Formats: sequence, structure tokens, C-alpha cells
Amino acid sequence: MTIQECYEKMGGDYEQVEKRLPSAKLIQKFVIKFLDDGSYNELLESMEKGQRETAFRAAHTLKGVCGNLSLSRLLNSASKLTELLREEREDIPAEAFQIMEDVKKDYESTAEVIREYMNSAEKI
Amino acid sequence: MKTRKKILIVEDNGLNRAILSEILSEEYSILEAGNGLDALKILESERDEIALILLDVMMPVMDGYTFLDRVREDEELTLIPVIVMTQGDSEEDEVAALTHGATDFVPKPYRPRIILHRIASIINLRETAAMVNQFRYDRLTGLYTKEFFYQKVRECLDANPDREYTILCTNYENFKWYNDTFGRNAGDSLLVKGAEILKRRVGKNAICCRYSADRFLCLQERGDELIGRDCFLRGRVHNRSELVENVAVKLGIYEITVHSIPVEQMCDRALLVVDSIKGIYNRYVAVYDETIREKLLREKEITDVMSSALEEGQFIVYLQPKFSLKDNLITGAEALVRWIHPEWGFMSPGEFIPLFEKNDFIPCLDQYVWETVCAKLREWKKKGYTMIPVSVNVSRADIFRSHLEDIFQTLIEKYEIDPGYLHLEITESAYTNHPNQIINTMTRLKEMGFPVEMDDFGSGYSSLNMLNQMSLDILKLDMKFIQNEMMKPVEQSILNDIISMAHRLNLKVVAEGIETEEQAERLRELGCDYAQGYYFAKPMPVEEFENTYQKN
Repeated sequence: MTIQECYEKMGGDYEQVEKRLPSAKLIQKFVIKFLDDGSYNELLESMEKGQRETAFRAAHTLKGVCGNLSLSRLLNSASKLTELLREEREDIPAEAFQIMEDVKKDYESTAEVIREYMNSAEKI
Repeated sequence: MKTRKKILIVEDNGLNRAILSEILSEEYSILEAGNGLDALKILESERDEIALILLDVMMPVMDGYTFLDRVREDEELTLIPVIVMTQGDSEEDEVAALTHGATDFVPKPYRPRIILHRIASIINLRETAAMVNQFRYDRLTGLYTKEFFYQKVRECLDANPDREYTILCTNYENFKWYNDTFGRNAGDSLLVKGAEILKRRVGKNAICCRYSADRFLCLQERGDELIGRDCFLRGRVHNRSELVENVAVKLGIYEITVHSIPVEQMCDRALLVVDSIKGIYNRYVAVYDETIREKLLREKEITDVMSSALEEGQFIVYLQPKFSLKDNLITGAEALVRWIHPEWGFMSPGEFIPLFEKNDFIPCLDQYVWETVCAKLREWKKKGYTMIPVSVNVSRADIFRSHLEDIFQTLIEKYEIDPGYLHLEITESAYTNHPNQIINTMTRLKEMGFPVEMDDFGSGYSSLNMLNQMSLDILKLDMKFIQNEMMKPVEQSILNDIISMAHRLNLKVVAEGIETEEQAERLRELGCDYAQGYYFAKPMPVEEFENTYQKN
């Protein structure tokens, strides 16, 4: 799998990320690093615990990282979630839990593709 | 290689930080911090190195806004531009960033070309502004520079033609001595403190600058100069809350009467008036007035004619004999210069010598005296007169001419004289200000065979250390010092101790200004070696000296 193919499969925008990072090698490096980024796990955990503030921060960070890597599909659901969590209140709105399901689905599929890409013999 | 400018990235997410760092690393060297607190720690040691800060808002431990607030508390840190990175999804974040003092913001996700351009232009803008500031503000004290002060004063006077203003000038007396003794850092700290006090005392509307090393200038509305004046009246100076001995603040005041005269001239007058009380004990404030004006005009008149006066031979060398107290026989003479002006008549050395010391004419006059004395010594030798050693004055300014030894070498060769007959007198105060240079020069001259005398001992901050460090032959006690000591009861006077100490150091002691038999008698009892003064003989023209002491 090439990195372009990987982006296509993840629902990412390769053309856009190319403008940000000067070489395919770097894009590859940062995409693989994405698997180590802790913001998704933090989001998951704080959503389960019902901590809106922490969840908002985590979603915000996840959104930022997806933006920088141009992982558009995940970016889209993460953005929606961020907005639902932004309003200052005690609990998490019900709608956010629904969108969280989208985020989970998108994250899992994105991560799956990246792992697949990592294991494929032919990179770049 | 051009050194790369440093950028500090403050962002909690490692992946974002790495991407940003990648984008910037080609042109900048990067420092990274995971939150505001870490960033402040980095700034502690690297503040001077960092050209720009890229700041994320949402961070654990210390967020971007708190960081901006902390940066704003530190005047130096506010000079570093901060670009805040926002998600671009909330205008409020952007407004908040700017109100907390950010220079600009860039949206996430990063757009490399835009970020790089914005960073470059902001750094460039800041550096230009910093250069302008360097021109406007004195680095050490933060006051205006002289040039910017002139400009500000001119604007102020032009804008307020009906108001009355005053120029105030401060001078730290003995500041150079303080700097030499306690080091540059202590001196700087004294000035910073001084500038702070000045700013506090002169009132909000005043305009202040650092004119030169230890001089501040200030424009105030008439009357305002009186407000903080009391604190200056005794001239006391504190540094790190300790009273600084020997250093005093003096104030010169020029009341502006005509707004249109050049600001430089107004400042010159304030500077001149403060100089007029230099060295005068117990006078801390002087106002420019007619008397000063006349004195300054007189000084200018003298300055204008001094060179031609020297050429025309108006300066005449007189000799005052010195006697041995043991047998009342003549043992030497001191060469003193007299100025007889064709119109003004006899000029007081007390008037022109200090002026020549200020305007740097003294080396020319000294050189003239040395030449004249050397010529006389040769003449005496040729004529077979009794050879009597003559002392000449070596001024502080002479010491700082690079070839003083060469000058004296040339003189003894030219006039074929024994250097033992030419005594060199250096005044005590010269030592106080520049000990090392004086010690080195005088040591070399002594090695060349010239006897060295310390003049005016006891007149200033006599340092016993000096007696140890300088290679001397003769200690000349200051006239006033002797007179003061004589007034005291015998048991309280330190005259005896000074003379014994000098003898232990193998120095001969000369007492100056002896006017009465009683004084001469007492000094003889104390074991003083030589004496000079009206009681014995006044300074006299060389011919009279020869007739009296050498021809019989």
C-alpha cells in the first residue's frame, strides 16, 4: 500500500497534507505516530466518566491533530463532537454520545488502515 | 554561517508540536514546551535568545491565556512577540488571545507558507522596533537617550509656548571613583537606582534622559523642580539600601526664559552650572544665574586667550624655597606658575589652574614649566651656581598622555641634567581616581632617577594603602591639613603619627604653608624634615631666587 492509497482508504486528503509536510517520508512518519497520540483514549475515557470539560479538551486536541494530518473523515466527526461539548455545562449532552459513536467508528477504521499500511510490504 | 533565530513552541500535543517543528525547522532553531509553566522556565534562561513564541491556548497545567498574562508582567518578556494558534472555530478565542497581549494568531490546521511568512514579518517588525527603541531609550536605565530627549523637549516647548520650564541636571560626584573601587556592576546598579529615584521625584510630566555616564537631564514645569529637591539637598546616595560614602548627587538648574534657543544650549547651561559646584563641599544645588553666567563668560575669555598667553610668555615661573627644619638651610624649591596678563594684571592661580584642569590646557602649561625649569638647571650648572633641586608639578592629565616617560627622557637629554635635581610632584587626588595608572607611571619615572613627591597629602581621601603601593621619596603635607592638625591639642593630633609612619617608610616629609614661627617650631619638634611657606620665603621670580640663594 502506498501512502496515497492509505489516505484514500482512511478518507484523508493527501493533497492537502502534502502542502503541510514537505515529503512522503514525513507524512508516513507522522501518520504512524498518530497511533500513539493519546487524545482519542482520553476522549473515550472522559466520555465514559461523563466529564464534559476534559472530553471537550480531548476532542479539541483530536480535531487539531486530524486537521494537521488532514484525516478528513475523522476530522469531520471530531469537529462535530467538539462543538457539542463546547458549551459550558455540568453534563454531556445526549447528542454528543450519538456523535461519539461516529467518532469511534471513524477512529477505529482510520487506525485499522494505518496498521494495515504499516504491515504492508511496500510503503510509499 | 548565519545563526538561526530561535522560536519557542508551546503546545501540549506532541504530534502537533512535532509537525509544527518540522515545518519551521528548516529556517529556525526550535525550543519546545508542553505547557505555559514549562515555557516560562525556558524563558528564564533563554529570554534573550528567543525571537518569537508560538502558543497553543488550550493546555493542561498552565493554559495559553495564563501564560500571556504572566509574560505581560515582565517588561522584558513583553518584547518577545507571541503568535497564538487557534483552531479557527471560535472568534472568541482569537479576540481573547489578542486582548491577553498576543501579537497575532494563526489558525490550525497549520498552513506552512502562511505561518512562515507571518513569523518572518513579525520578527522583522519587532527587530526594527527594537532598533528604534535602542535609539530612544538608554539600555541601562530605561530613560530616554540624549538625542531623543532633545527632540521631546523641543516638541514640548513648541507645544506649550505659554508655560515655563526648567532643565535639571544631576551629577554623581566621585562616580568614577565608585566605579573603579567597587566595580562596574555596582556602578551600574547605582545609576539604575538613581534613575528610578529621579523618575519618582520629578513628577509625571517631566521628561528625563541619561545624558552621559553619570549625568541625567530632566525637563520639568517651573516650580516642579522644587518638589523633590529636599531629598537631594544633602546629596546622599544609596545603593542596595546602603548609604554610599563619598558619592554625592548634585543638581544644576537652568530656568528656561526663551523657548526658542536650542535645547542643546539650555542643557549645556544646566551642565555647566552643576559643574560649577563640583568638588565644593556642602553645596548640592546650583541655579544658573547672572553670577554663574559671568563666571562662565570669564572662563570663556580665559580659554580664548590662554594659548596665545603661553606663546607670548605671560606665564612666568616663580620659585618658592624649601628649607631643612634641622638647620634652616635651603634644600630645594618648588616651581610655581604665575600669569601676568598685560591688561588684567596678576591672575590668581586659584582661578586659572582649575579651569586649565577642566579644559585640558594643563598639560601644555606643565610642559612649559618643565622646559623652563630644566633650562634653568642647565644654566645653573654652566654658571657654577649652587645646584638646588626644583620640584615641578605633574598633573593628572599628564599621566594619561601616553609618552610621559619619553617626554622626561627627552628633557634630561636635551638639557643634560641629572634627573635627581628634577623632583616630580603628583597630587594625592590623582591617585584616588586612577590608582593603577598613577602607580605604574610614577614607578617608571622614579626608576629613571626622578625623585617623586606626593603633593597635598591629607587633603582628600588619603589612603594609607597608597603610601605602600606608590614608590615615593617625599610626602608633602597639605597646608590646610597641617593648619587643622595644629589647632588640635597635641594628644589628639595625628601629625606625629603621620610623620613617624612616613619615616618608617623611608620618606622625607615636607610641610607646606608654614606661616608662623610657632608652626615651624612644632613641626621641627615632631621631626618633620622640610618646610615651605611665607614664614620662610614667598614664591619669587627666578632672578631674585638666584640672587638670594645661589650667588653668595
